[in-house]
Amino acid sequence: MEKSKEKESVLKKKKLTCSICGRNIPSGEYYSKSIISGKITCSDCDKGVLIKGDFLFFPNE
Amino acid sequence: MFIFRRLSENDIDLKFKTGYNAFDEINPDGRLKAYLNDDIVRGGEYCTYILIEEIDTENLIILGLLRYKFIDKEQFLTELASYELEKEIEKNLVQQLNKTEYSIIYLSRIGVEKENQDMNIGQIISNFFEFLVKRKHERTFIYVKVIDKYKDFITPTYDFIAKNDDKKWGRYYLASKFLEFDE
Repeated sequence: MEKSKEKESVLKKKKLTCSICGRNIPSGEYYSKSIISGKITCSDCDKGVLIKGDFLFFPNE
Repeated sequence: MFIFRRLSENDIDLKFKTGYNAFDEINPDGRLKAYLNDDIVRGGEYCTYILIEEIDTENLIILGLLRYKFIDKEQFLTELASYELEKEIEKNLVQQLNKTEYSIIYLSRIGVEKENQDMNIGQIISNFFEFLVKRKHERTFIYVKVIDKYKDFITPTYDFIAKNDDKKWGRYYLASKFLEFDE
């Protein structure tokens, strides 16, 4: 009985899938989430903050 | 030898210039003193890291610099109130910040020394920053501010959530992302 409940809860738990590579993201692994599109990006596909260029800033901060 | 480490009192007279006037305005004499004054080391708010090439103990080149600060939620929400942002985005953002506890980090700047640009050092520093954040294993909200001209430098994993206008620098944007993990 308990085992079937466990199975049910596992099935109920929503799988997290990277919107870029389609990989399932396991528990405990970081991912980034957009609050605008709701898209999830796994840590392999998330390239950090810079896409090109060698500087990033708001002047004087 | 290459070293990535926190800025310290010993670095006060080391020079760092990117060649971008707006970036370098913060330390017109090129010394790291200005960065040190704003750092936690001297009672400021920022954590500053430098990437160094050590030719020998007397000869150091600062290849790049990173600085960021932790901000509490109320401080961030107060700042957010000064921005122009869509109601739906504001609602989602505030809901998310209230639903779960996040460390909030303002990534203030990443810069590369002028003689060493175009070698992906900016990306190395950006990746190092991600590492610093992730090694804490905390849910984290990261935001940056970027002037209009350099908006395209931001990766698509960051949301452009708000905009504002500065008297001197014109239109600028606030971009952010939530770093999450499931237990």
